[in-house]
Amino acid sequence: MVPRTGRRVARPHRVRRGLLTLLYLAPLLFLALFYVYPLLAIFQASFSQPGAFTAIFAAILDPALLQLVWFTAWQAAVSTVVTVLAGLPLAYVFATYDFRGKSLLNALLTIPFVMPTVVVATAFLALLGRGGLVNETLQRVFGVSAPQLHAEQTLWIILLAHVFFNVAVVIRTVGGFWSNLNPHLREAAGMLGAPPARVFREITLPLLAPSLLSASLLIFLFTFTSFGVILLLGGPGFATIEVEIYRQAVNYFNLPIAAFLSVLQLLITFGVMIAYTRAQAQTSRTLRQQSAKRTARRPANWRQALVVAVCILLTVGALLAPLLALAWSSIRVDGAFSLRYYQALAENPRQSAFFVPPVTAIRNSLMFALATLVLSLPMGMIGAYMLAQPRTWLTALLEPLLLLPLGTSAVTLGFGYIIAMGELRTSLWLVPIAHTLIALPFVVRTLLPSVRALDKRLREAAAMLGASPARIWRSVDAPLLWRPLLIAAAFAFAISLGEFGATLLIARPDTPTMPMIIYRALGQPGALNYGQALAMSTVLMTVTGVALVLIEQFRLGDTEF
Amino acid sequence: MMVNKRCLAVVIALVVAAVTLVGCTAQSPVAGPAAPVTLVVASHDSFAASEAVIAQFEQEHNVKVQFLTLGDAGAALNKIILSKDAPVADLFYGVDNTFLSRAVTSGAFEPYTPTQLSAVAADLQLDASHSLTPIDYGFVNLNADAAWFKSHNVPLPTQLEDLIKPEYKGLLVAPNPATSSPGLAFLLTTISYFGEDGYLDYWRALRANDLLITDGWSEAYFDHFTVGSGGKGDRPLVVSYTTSPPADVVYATDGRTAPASINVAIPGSAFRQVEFAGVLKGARQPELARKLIDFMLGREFQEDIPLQMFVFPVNQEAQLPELFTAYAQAPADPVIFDASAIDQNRERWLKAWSDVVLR
Amino acid sequence: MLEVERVGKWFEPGKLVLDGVSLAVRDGEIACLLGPSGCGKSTLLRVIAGLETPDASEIRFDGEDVTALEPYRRRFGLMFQDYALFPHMSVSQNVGFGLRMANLEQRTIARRVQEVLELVNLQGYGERSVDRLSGGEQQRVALARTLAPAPRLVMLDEPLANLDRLLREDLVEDLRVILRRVGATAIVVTHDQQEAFVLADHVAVMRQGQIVQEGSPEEVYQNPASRFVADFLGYRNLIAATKVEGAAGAVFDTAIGPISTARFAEAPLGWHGWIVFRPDAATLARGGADELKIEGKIRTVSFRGPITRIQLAPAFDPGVELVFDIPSVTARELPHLGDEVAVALHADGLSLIPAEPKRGEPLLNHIQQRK
Repeated sequence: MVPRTGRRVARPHRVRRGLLTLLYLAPLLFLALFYVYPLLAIFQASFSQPGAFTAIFAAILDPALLQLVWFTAWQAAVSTVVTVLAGLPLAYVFATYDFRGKSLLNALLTIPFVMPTVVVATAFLALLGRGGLVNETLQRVFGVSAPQLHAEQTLWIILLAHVFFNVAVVIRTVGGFWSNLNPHLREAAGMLGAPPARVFREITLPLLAPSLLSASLLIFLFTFTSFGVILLLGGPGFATIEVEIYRQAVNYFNLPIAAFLSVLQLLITFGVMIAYTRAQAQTSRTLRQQSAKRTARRPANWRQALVVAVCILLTVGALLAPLLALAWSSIRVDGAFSLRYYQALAENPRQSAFFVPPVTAIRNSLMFALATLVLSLPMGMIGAYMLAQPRTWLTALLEPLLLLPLGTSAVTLGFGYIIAMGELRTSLWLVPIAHTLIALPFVVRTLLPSVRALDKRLREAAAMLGASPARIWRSVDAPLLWRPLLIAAAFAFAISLGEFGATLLIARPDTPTMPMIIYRALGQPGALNYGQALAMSTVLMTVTGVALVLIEQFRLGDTEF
Repeated sequence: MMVNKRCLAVVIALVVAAVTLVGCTAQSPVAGPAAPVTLVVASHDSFAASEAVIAQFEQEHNVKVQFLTLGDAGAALNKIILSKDAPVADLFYGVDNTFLSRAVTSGAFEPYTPTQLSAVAADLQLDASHSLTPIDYGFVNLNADAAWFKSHNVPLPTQLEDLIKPEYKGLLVAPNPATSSPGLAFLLTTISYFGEDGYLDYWRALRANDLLITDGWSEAYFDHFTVGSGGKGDRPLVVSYTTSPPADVVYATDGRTAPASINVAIPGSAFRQVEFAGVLKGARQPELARKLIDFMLGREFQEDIPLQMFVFPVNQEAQLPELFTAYAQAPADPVIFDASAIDQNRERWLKAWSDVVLR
Repeated sequence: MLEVERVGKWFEPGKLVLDGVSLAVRDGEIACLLGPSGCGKSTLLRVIAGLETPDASEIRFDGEDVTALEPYRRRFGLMFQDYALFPHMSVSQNVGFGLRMANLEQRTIARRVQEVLELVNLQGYGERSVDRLSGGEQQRVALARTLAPAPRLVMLDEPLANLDRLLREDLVEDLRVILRRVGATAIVVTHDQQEAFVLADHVAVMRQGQIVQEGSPEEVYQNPASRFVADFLGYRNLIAATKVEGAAGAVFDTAIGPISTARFAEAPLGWHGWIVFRPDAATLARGGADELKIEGKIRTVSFRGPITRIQLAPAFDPGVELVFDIPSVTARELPHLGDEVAVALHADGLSLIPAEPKRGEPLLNHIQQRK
């Protein structure tokens, strides 16, 4: 062994640098191949249609366009703010306190995020619809005959659904970052005479800003391109750009307008991201992070315990009530408890060629989710490191590129795949690839605040001690990234489990996933079909919950570092 | 250190598991050299058939049939048209008459005239170029909750004008014509019934009478229709299919033999939908694809259609199941709309409709 | 005046971190909590600050019971070991934070910040960002921030632990001067006895959640009350001893032979424990009959400037090892390796440590009953 100096280690030689560049290129290559290329292909095909620009010009002059864009942006902004506000208390509780069943709860809270929209819409209506549980109760309690709550097809139910779907993003990304904040900062402020509210406003909130921005951006992009919620709960009276793209592309086959709207959507997304990047650069700073095990405490007195209990009860109540209502309906057949719907999942009375036992559907879903995890975690990690570097042309390109898939119309991209993907169009590999495209922004955003906050001095110290880059990563970075990495893994896995992607992909009915079974069951009339959709939704919830709990279990590893 | 090793082990295990799992499943359709050739059939999400029937075709022609689903009817056809230079499949099933002229003029389909076409009623043979072959048909129609009307002492509507009367206020749920094919069918029905000059006034009146529009058929039927939602909905009238009542029996959980929902017999209110299949231009197995079209018109497949997809077979020799003859008789005077008129006016009608009903 | 009475605290049931600690700090006094890591000294500080809720205790300041008072109402200052500087604020924003919380006027704040920065010798640093400061500068910003609102009680948790050795020795003096200048009542937590001795008026040595010895630095240094304190203070020469004669002077039977001294008349006959020789209380003996002498062979010599450290193998039992620091000035002839010498001990350099360590009565039972 030749003793190595810090200088030599700090500057990898040429081969290693070459490998590093190649590693860095992996996410870029992936995006170029599976995102940029198909998108350009469909744009090219759309804009080259005869009369394309006349039609687009007419669309630009139509005042309806402005209204469409305004509504889309407005509802996304409001949804984002409401979601962040709704998620903060629980993010706080999760970051500050340790309590029994925390990891289970954490897993449960992520379930809404991955539920297929159709299922959630059904659950929402069962709860809040005209004939739903709330109205039924109100009618009984107040002895009135007409339903009192008119939530159906209103803006309120859209906002509610957006909160429901995305609050896990706040709880996870902000909560994860929060728990890594040095508690001494809050305590120091307190010792200097700042009451809790002021500590929150002047210390915690500014320090949380990077993760708040990160979560907000994700939620904004998600709700900006909202499709299912708008259609199913908002009803035909509301339309986002994404909805309009679908109508233009699928119903009118008006590809030039659809492509134009897609470009518009991308441009707005891009603008939001630039604003975000600026804000992020101003708020992010190196924080000395703590391992979460040290910071989270059991509630010390009854008052804290009460805060924890109230926060949990409220959030859990609001988030899990629709899901529980769904699960409850799945075991109620004609007013009695029965597993009939579950049995029906495993039966094939009409000998359908597309029948697949539920176990196989679960296996298919898990396998796609696993593949998504394997693809998205390493690439997301590389992406986060790249973005945390001082800006170069490469990072400047990657930053928006990694996020743009979230702001891209799924219909348009799906059509792009059809044109551009050749043999891969019908390959099963396209499923995890598409899921990775959706999961990647989440993985990167979840990791980024923590990667950015990594103390460079620690890494330099390790390099001075003669550690190789891989070793530095293992011994310095990995312990601090372990937690956000798990959160990212949970997101990636869950996104894949719940993703239907009918508009995006060509499906293979011989290898259906759980969401595909649900959609298929809802496609035909009859109580048993509806019941099977309920049953499969419950199975999907359970599988997602179990998978998330298992992922959470790895957190026990904290102590071993 | 321990976790690092464990972490590495987990990652390796994940990679191996994922690659083998996806690999295994991805392999299955790519058969070995001795295995039969593969015929790829694309369709929309609602396609269904019996395993035995498919197996019969596979045996007869030593072929493996691989199915692909491409989204809802509109999205699926658009994907087919977009990929016409490099088709994803050999055959496409699922063009309905509202999309027929778009499909035909796209040039994505290879004309073929199957011999069994003689067994198909002439008025179902809508494509003179024979690019597309009719396979099945059905009727979009109003379904009613029989028990509700009885217990509320409201007579079933007998003409479309009834629906705008006060006693039918807040009873009807219909899917959005812009995003749902039965929704479009119902809009076309009103255009046919009231004429281009009158249908918007009718919709205005419907809207004033608390009509509920949902985005898709599933939401209308399962979330709002009193029968489909198991009592949670509050709409006893829904725009659905004449074949929904048989499905209500087939998929019942209480062993009922008669449906809870019934077809509302309003003259001129049932819209006929015909579904077509066609061989794709540039198919790798054009011969087998044509054989499959023949097969789809044959009795085995045709008699399999009703209880798989809840539509009627086009082959007049095919026997209908009892449920169909009892509860889903074909209406006497269905609305038969000219396919090219639909294609030419669809966007305009939908825009006008949206302005009246949704704004 | 701060009075802490019988503080008990556990993090897990049955595992006491603080075991009935009582402590009093007079106005203007600098008290030092000294002890190895994990002894509970930082926890005690956090309990006094109000950041930890004690499971049993009473904490009074100037007679007022502050046990239930929120930390931000106590008007105590606490400087954290990691400084906990607010990374999103400049140096003067950090220092002015406490003043702002007291709702002082903008101008008053600016003046006071200026004043305190001068006190810690950081004038002109106000606009800098805190993550661009060196470790020593950060430490001084943290100190300035703690002192700025003129807290009733200043608490410093390992204020110098994160600095390198040279800097530490400079700053410990500065720290004392600054604390004296502002006249603060202060508690300093440290694991370094040097630091404690330099800073403190009053030292409390802690072990396993209890204060095992208290007193002025001199008292504690000269009379370690237990084997633990002696070890912790760095005493090396602990010899098991039994008192065998006690009429005029005392004679102890030890591993290195009988030792007679005029001191320790108060110890009863048969007393058993340790005799400690302070290493610095020795010279090389040159005649003189009644001096206490140990003869032996020099095993190692290391010259350390003002002193020369020798390891001595006593003639009585060469297996024992004694360490002495001989002042280099008196050693006209410096000792050499292998020399047979006699070491003369100053009688005041001897201390007795009883075999049974004095430990307070555990609070554990009391607390568990209460819960």
